[in-house]
Amino acid sequence: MIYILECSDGCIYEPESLFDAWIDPARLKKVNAYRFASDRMLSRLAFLLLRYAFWNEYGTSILPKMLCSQEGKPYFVNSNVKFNISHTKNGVICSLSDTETGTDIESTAEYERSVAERVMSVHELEMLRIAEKEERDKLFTMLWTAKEAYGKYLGCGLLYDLKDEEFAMIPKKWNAHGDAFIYSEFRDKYAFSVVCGEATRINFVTSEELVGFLTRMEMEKNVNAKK
Amino acid sequence: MNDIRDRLQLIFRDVFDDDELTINDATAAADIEDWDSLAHIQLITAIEKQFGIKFTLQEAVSSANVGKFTSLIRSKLHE
Repeated sequence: MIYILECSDGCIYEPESLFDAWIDPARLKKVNAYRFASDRMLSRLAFLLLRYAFWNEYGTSILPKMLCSQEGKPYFVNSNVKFNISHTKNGVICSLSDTETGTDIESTAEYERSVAERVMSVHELEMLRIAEKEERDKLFTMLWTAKEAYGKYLGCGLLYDLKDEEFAMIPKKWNAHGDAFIYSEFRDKYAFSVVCGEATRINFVTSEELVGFLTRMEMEKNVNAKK
Repeated sequence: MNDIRDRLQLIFRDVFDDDELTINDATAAADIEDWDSLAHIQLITAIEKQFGIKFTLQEAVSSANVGKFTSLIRSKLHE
């Protein structure tokens, strides 16, 4: 199950600490390490979107305990539920699954041949070469998210042979890739990719829905505290 | 070392399109807006080109701040 929140710099509520009670302390430490308010907000929203997604799928806003692997991938302890999150200037994404999953979201990046030659396969480079400028930037961004999402699915991040792993797939469709499935899409100002053990649905969440959910949780917490 | 740092600063300013950007050894991704994984690879590629060196993927990914970049560049130049 994929949840995406489209936003600009994460400014969907204030003050920025409004819903910090619902963010894991280890995550909050990471949030507060960011120098820029926009990065702090987007990092917060990624976690809050995870909480929203979990509630939507499993009927509870209480998340299992979380830890990070040696490679830095967060995971739920003693749970069959796997997840991955990512954020960029224009959006936040969360993937929840019963199988391993990885996801990445990136605002449109300008194609750079030297960067592409470092990470793209021969076929991907050819696709980029023949694309028109505007389409090339979109394709480059989308291919990059595919490579990063796959690395996060594997649990190794970018530490795999990026050039050898080809993602010349059909966008906006679930494509088989090895033992998994990958979905990639370019939308207006950003691209995203998700890798999962099975094809799943994609949900776009509005800022009103997310803030409404968080506000209700706050109210329920205050009511229970008074009992 | 100052020469390496000065050249790195120019690279950072170019990659992040910010002529006012100032870096020090501790500067890391959390300190610069838009320093994400793709920007990291852009930095790596620019550094390799500027200094005429090559990083392994492990070296590239594990260079988490400017200080580590500087040490790595220095060791590569002396290889």
